[in-house]
Amino acid sequence: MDEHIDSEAIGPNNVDVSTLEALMLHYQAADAAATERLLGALCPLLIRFFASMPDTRPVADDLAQDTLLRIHRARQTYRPGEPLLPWVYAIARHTRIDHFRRNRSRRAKEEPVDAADLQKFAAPPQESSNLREFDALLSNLPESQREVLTMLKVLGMTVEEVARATSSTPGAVKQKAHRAYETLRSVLERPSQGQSTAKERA
Amino acid sequence: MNGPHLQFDPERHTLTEAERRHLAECRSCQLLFGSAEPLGGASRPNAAVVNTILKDLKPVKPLPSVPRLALIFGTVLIAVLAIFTYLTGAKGFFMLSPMAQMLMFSIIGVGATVFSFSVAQQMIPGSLRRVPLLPVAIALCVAFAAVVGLLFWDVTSWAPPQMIHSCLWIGLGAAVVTAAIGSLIVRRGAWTDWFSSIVSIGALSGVSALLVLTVHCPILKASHIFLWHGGSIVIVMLAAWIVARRYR
Repeated sequence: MDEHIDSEAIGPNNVDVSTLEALMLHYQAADAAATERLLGALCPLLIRFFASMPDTRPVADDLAQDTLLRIHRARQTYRPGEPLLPWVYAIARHTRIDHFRRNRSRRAKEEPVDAADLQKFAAPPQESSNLREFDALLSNLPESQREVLTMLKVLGMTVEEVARATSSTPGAVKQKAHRAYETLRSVLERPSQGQSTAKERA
Repeated sequence: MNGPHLQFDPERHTLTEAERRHLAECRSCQLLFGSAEPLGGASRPNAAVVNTILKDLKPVKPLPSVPRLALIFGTVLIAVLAIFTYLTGAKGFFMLSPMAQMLMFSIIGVGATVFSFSVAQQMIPGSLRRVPLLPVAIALCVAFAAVVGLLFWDVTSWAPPQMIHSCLWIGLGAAVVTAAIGSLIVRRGAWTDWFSSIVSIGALSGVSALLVLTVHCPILKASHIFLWHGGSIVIVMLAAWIVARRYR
């Protein structure tokens, strides 16, 4: 996956949501130009979605491309007038879950190797220290709360959009976010004691 | 701290001067802002992916709305009821008192509506769910047990069963037919939560079994209803859960 379409050919990436929804309707009507523009606009959003979570960050680009294919197969399920991004993120989330499931079954068949041996050959990490600290901070949260918090605060989605994307109810999303804030607050206020307390709660 | 905490807006790529000043001083925002830094790598669709999609580009008709899809599943329940009533009769319906009819069919009606909507929502990614499914399912089970226990309680009938009653087979038959037709319909959708989707179809099939048995079965004893009618629902739900567990 190393050959890429020129972004100029597919238009600007930061298209507003109503434009995306209009492009989606043209996509459903098999308009090739609109399809290319829509795919070009969705790709950075999807990469950002996968890169915002540490466990899918290394494969964010591959998962984004996989999601585009899934979006194509599911394009008849988008309803005109409904918000597009929760629909896209719901499919992306399913891609992410499938990725974990595949990894889990693959790991079950693999022989474990000595991590210290691998470390000698590993490239130095390229992530910024802020990103590592952010990941460490979020590692205090259970997976479901981490996902909700990332969608709300990093991807900038509303509670209703997160509920739609995670097949949940707005009430459940609010509850998870509240619990996540409480945990993070305790971690940020007492950095040394907070991490163990938060893990116990999780 | 300098000013309020930063609010992340994915559409906006620059910070105001006030936000920059705040970011320089606030450790919490520095951590959160770090996660929003560009992460490198290509942010464009792969040429092979775009070409594959463009080659396969055909017009598609959007799925019906969730209420319409739910109505289709409701029609399936009625069709299954009609088939089984034709085959096995409707003695049970005429044996029930008006009060029992109202209570039993109210529970079945609520269950059919909730689970039809649930299956329909599972077909469309990003559908908004306003009602949590599990508490509703538990409430319906409790209501069913309470109604049957209050209306049809008979201590003398609690003897161990000698053989499998035909009600179990009729209930399972109705559930299997509902699940098969339902599965054909949901293939047009795109499941993003396989576990919930399979459990919802199982629950809808269970409601179908209960509907058919309530109309068919003239034995109005709590022991019989709990064991054979409830048993068919338990078997259907258990089968759905076992299948769905693979996708958890």
